[in-house]
Amino acid sequence: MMSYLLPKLRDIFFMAMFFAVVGFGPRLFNVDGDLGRHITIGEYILQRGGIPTQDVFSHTMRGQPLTPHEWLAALLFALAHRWAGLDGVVWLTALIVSLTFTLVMAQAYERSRQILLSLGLALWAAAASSLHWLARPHLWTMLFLALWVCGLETLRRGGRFRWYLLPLLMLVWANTHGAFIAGFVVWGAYLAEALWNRWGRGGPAGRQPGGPPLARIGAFSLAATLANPAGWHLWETTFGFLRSRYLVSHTAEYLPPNFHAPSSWPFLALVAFSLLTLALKGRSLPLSHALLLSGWTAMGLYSTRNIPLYAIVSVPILAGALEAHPKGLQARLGRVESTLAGALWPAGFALLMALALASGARLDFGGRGNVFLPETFPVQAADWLEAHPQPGNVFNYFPWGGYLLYRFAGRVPVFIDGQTDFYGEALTRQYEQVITLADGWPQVLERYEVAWALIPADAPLAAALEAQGWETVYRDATAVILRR
Amino acid sequence: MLVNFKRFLFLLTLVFVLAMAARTPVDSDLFWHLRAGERTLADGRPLTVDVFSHTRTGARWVNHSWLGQVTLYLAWRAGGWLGLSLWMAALAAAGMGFIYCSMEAADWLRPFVLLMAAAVAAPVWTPRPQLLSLTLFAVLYWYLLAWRNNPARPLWPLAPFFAVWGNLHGGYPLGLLLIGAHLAGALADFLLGRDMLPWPRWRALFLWGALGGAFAALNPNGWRMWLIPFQTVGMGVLQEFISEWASPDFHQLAQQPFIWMLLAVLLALAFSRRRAAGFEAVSVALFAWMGLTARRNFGPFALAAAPVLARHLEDVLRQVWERLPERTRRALRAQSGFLNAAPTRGEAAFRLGVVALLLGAALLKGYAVTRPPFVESVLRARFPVDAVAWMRENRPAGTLFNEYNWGGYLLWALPEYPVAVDGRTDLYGDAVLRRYLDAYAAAPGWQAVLKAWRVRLALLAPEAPLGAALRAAGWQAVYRDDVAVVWACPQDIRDCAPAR
Repeated sequence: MMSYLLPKLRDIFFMAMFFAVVGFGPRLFNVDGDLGRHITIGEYILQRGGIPTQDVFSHTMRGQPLTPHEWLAALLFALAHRWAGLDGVVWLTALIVSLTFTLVMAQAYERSRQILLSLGLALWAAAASSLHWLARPHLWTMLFLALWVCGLETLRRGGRFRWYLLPLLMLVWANTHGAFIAGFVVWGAYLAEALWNRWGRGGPAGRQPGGPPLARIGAFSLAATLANPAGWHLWETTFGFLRSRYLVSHTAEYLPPNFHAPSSWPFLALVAFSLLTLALKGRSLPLSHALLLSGWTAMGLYSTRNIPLYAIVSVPILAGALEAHPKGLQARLGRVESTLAGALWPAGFALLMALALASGARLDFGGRGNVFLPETFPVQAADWLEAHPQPGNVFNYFPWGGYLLYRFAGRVPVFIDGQTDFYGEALTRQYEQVITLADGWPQVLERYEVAWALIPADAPLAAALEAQGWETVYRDATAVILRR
Repeated sequence: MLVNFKRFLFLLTLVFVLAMAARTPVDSDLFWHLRAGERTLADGRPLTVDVFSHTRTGARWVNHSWLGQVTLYLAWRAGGWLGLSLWMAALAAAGMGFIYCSMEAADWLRPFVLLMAAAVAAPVWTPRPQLLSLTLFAVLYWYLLAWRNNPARPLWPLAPFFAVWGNLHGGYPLGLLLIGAHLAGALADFLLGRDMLPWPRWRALFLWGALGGAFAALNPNGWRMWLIPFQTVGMGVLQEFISEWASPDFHQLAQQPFIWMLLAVLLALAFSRRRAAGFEAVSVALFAWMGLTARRNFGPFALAAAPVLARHLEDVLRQVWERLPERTRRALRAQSGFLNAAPTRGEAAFRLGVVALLLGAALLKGYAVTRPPFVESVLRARFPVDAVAWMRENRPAGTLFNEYNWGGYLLWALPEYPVAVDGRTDLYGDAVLRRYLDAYAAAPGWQAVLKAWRVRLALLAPEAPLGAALRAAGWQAVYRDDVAVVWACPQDIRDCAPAR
């Protein structure tokens, strides 16, 4: 009976993670404005019962074909929002993040048999990935990648796992977020190892009896990615964005990490730790692990948004490299962990947090509640716009596009928002032309028949528009609204 | 045996490196080093006081590279741009040569790894005294490895070695870090219960390393040399605004070799069956960390990682070899007999001819990229050559505010106008540089900075934010081209300081 009443260390980790993410709630959606767009699309799906395949949210691209590669994530965010507003979104985000890193810890323990080491490494992975904890669909990729790795690794070790679950997971993944490609990258590493072990004299005896059905998993997963509203265009959209050097170099999360910023230090330390661990280990790693660790390190260094994926993939591998027979405290804790069955603790805790948030409790560390911050987004300007609707097309500050869609439920079509893979390089360049007052900027506004602008109060564009005879109809510390 | 295949590969690799490093020797910091070297030779003593700027004139300048500047200036005086280029290329090739000799791997593998390391280090092969640090780092790497393998090799040369390094360039702490990596590696080996050298040898390395650090202060700056690394690393402005101190941008092609080498090191270490020595583990992790926090540390990473990569990559390739069918292996073995065979006279002549031909091509490349018209075109693209000519001719009156990256060039090409700032960041410190950057960005209060520095002239890029502010404040663009604008404050504007 006692074993059901006491939580495992893993459950305590889950609850601590959940509490921490909820505590950082407002940060999850105040760093960029993309959440607003996702909730708006989700609401659109819920209200119309269909997935939008043409743009209905902007006046610059209205009617253009849209690849809704994140429609399922948008739907889930919208459902959470319907339930408890932004508190619901924070709760959902906390659930995804906590599940992800609890899985990472479980994987680390599975491979190292060192409970304290696994706890430490999972915390490290969480710290390294925290720089990209934002309430956006990519969080689902973090969770799905952890599950995907878990499944492939179980198969690699000859454990029991129903292989068809992986293509089913891919079906959901491909409809949730465009980074489902990460799954194929990981799959490729396991395939390389399977081929390596079959080549020549074969691999070490006992490894991979029969090998996992990797070809089947790959083929069915590939087919699963085509089952989405855009079909094969989903792949085209994902790679199309990556092909544009301009868009990639203008999107902060695609840039390499800045190691002078403290938020990237856990990642840097993890890279150095990897080098030390690999150099000092007593044996070679399986080829799949070697490829995954080195490949994801390179990808994390190339693009900040890959750092969470690096942490999820690499930490269990590092734990495996440090595998040792547990002794002393580790051994005792491991024995206790195996006897406990308090799985109700994390479920109960998540439920408790849901009830607290739904009842209006402010659980964020700043005590301001889960709201869009008026110093970051044009909250007061939007209040004014509610009372004074402006006719005609708007030119809006890029990071505020999603907020405007959210605030006006799509009734105010934006010039641009954070969905740069849809708006493309041409429109993004035109936006930049205007906001930086580059030659020809007034012609861009003419071309799109812009009648009013909502931009930061200190933007040089505000003074330039005034100089051109535009009238300032609203101004606060954050935003200014000008009319032609 | 003079040109057996092993030596042939070594020479060939070095000539390749020489060809890679023979470049147009132009860098924003080169010119102030040349000017300081010239001044040191003219005065007969190292320059330790600022005489080039108007913001720090007369202040003590811990000129940690005075001897390196002299070597640069002598190379320039002896051979002009070509002399400078060849001096830099020789230093780069020498450093790589020592690393080649430090590799414990198959002869045919070493050139590939070394060329990869060369590609990583290439962005920091700039005509500056820091290249001397890179070469000395390689020498020390080789020497410490030789000391590990040969108990008879003495450690006392470390003391004079660091004394010379401390005069050539302020990068001598790299050497101390390398010694620290050996000591930390020994500790790791001890903790992991591995074979290691006897403790007295480590104690000796610690003591001679410490003495070497002390000997680094035997230079005109004295004990202040010890503070240089802390002062430099502690400067916030340096890390925020100076590109060589920034984190790498791996979207830039020139910086990508670092990421590829790191990937290769990780892959080789992970898949290799060999266990790395403690110092290999610590040095690779340490210098990778430093390379990821500042691009200028690509060089030490490349040098420290190359021998480790070579040793472990060899084992990875051996695993591939073991999986080849026996027939294929037999055939390959039969074909590779020439690797160890003594060359015939004809083969030796052919190999020497190939090396000589490539050396000629490397020198030809060096000549082509240092011809005066070519260097002139490079200078025109990067520096305000025509604006400087205009200023020399028209002599506008006033104290100058200049682009940071042009400071070195200006004190070389236009010495009659002391600069506001140049690449001597440790001289200016956070205080001056922050004021400079505020003024440059036309941040609130920029007028006060210009007034305090009595500035009446500004030489700026056309897109400089300060340029727009100066125009709005009534300053006149008295000269303009595609590269630079000369702004002058009219006499009737009271906000400008009076001309000196």
